[in-house]
Amino acid sequence: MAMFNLLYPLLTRDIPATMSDEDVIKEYLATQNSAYFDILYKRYSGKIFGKCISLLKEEARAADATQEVFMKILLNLSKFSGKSKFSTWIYSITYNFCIDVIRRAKKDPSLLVDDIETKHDVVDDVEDTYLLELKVSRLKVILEEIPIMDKSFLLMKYQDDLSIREISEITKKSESAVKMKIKRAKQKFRKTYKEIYKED
Amino acid sequence: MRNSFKDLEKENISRFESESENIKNKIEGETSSYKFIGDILDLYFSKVMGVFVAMSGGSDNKKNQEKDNSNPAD
Repeated sequence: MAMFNLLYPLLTRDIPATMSDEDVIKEYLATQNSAYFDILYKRYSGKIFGKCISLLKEEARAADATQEVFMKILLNLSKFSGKSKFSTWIYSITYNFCIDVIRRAKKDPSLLVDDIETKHDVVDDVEDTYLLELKVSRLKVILEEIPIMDKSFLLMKYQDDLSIREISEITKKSESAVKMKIKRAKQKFRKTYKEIYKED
Repeated sequence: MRNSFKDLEKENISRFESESENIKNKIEGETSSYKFIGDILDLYFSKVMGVFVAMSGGSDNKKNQEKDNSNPAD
């Protein structure tokens, strides 16, 4: 271990921090040098953990999920085609993994009636500012209350800044279905907010 | 414009700092186990297959090639 600590700066010193994700992946696959893995880990582990904790709620479960998601990423790295951004690919694995964990654990009904819901009409639109300018403590409370699928759509749009096309790739739904889902999620968010914070 | 979702993300990421090294070590441990198993398979699988081929009456191509190379007069 002491030897590794001595050699580590030598192994990593030639890797520029600005190297693109795609180049880091190519080099990692070609050399299996752990310094390239370190770069990917530094860039994405925090974000993956953040998503896992938002979806799974408990810190210990989020830590386990982060480990498993990263293993999936490493084992499937050669399958990354580069058609989408690497971050989109990673978020896709993370969201689908967490939703799968929840589905297995408690059979959340919102995960099953998902497609039937889209047939209902959406009455009015909720402004983005309504969600974006909320206090973080309140945002947390509302996100805990709304169904997991709604929470996922809102996180993808407002936290990850993913486009409708990217969200449709991740969720394997049509772009119009995604737009409808986001609209509906925002409405549920507002309804839940009004129920909890009646005074506002 | 403020974005409370981004603020929430920052808050969650800051909770990760204490876990980061621990998770990284676990991932590295797991990947080195996979590599070790892969190396073992690489090393022995071809030998085992060679034994099976020999047992079923086939011949080892590599050995034949080496023989051919060492006898240029043939």
